[in-house]
Amino acid sequence: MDAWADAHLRIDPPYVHIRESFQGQPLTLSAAIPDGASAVVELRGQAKELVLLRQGRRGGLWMSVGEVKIANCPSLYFLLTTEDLKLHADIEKQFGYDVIKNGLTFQGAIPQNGAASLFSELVKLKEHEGLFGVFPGALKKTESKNGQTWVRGQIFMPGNVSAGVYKASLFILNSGHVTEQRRVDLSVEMKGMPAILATLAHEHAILYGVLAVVIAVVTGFVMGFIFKGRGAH
Amino acid sequence: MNLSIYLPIAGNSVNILILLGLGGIVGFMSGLFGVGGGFLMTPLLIMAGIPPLVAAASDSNQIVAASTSATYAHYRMGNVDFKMGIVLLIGGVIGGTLGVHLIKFLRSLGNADFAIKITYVAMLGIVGSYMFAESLQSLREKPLTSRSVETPKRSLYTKLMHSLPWQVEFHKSGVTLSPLVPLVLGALVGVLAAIMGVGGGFIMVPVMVYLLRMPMHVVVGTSLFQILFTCINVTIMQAVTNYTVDIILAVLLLLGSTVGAQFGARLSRRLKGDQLKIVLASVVLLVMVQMLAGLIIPPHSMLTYKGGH
Repeated sequence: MDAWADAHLRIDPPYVHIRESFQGQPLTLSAAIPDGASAVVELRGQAKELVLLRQGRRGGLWMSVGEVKIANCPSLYFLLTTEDLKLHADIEKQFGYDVIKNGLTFQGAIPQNGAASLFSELVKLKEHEGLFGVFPGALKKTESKNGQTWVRGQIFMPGNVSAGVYKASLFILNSGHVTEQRRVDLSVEMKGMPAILATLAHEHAILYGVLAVVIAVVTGFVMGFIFKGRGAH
Repeated sequence: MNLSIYLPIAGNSVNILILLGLGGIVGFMSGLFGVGGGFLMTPLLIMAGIPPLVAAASDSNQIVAASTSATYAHYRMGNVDFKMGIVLLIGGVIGGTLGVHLIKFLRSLGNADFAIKITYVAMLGIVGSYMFAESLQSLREKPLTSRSVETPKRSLYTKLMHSLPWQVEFHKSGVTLSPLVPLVLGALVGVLAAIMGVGGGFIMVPVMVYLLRMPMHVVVGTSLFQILFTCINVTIMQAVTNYTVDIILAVLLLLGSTVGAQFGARLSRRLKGDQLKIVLASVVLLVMVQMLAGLIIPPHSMLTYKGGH
């Protein structure tokens, strides 16, 4: 099939597998859009309730001062735009952190100055983890052919990304207005040993606990035998 | 070459060499100073980016492996008082179970990580300061001359011990006392083991020497026996209640700590006891200062994950 003929968003590789040596994975997002158009690509994790602890100072020490429940928060959010949209004021209203902020509800230990400061702390926390990012101009227009331009950008799925289905959306814009939208799913799955251990730990907790002890005892005996019984203590 | 490994329970990837290195450093210190390394391992893991509760629970699992080989070695040398060890163990199981539920309760209040850190700071501060002061005094050749002060305390303590019911003779240790004493002390160490992810050796050993009056060679073997079974209980409880045991993390730490311990043991033969103690005390105090700084310096973000995940 001619890649130039469709405006579908392509993700390369089209899936993320969390295996034993997983430490994050770069993904290339690309699409062919009409000449003269602009593009926005958004990648979102599943929305869920997030329970966080608000830090505060008590008795001169920093500690948790209460629980904050944030509903409808995406587990991951990346936004990439083409260079020409970098300074486009309307883009911020249609995409990005402001849109996420409007969809969230905060409950619990809300500070006196309101939830706005909590949202900026949430963004700071998520960006620090590599799970949130807004990258204006990160979609590069590379080559043109038959009235279409190829746009390409790269994101990095961090090592602490959780398993699940992520929604990648391509928005094609003309004069700041969305003219076309395409969506594709990105699957992030645990495979091999991490999948086996995570399933065991959560679905067969007693068996997992006993297995952890058995492995430790056997390894301890083997190490003790190798080093003639002189262990760590 | 990709040397990182994904830890499915911690939910993050960590460089294998960092884990082996951490295990090796703590194991080296364990071999050098003759104490368990758990009280140093958990804060080092937290510094390496492992969530606090996963660090504490997985370290308990690692201590199971490390103390297995050491207990076996001491058993072969006849250094384990099983009678005393079983009483301490019963106390340890009760304390460990209470400790795991205490963590769960603290977690529901949102203060588990804070509780772990503040308990650490207090314990490291007390143990480090005491050891530092004692070994500094020894190095200055001013032996403790408080016999006249200690004698009335000791007699009061002995009187209290004899007044307790169900006096039992512990042949191997050469002491006669109420099983309630090791039971309560074992429970206290069990609670600490569950909360802090330590085997409790650095608390249990002085308790057995100074409070239970056991001979040193039996203390080490019996302490290890008690720690082994206490940590088995803590590991299973943490796995079932909090899902915080990471087997891969524990095994990698063990591989490092067991090898490091051998090199530490070799070096320890070349150093004097007081020199060793003062270096250990300095390390303990340094870790304490680092943890304290974490409580004083404003955090990177005003929002953190519940339970450190």
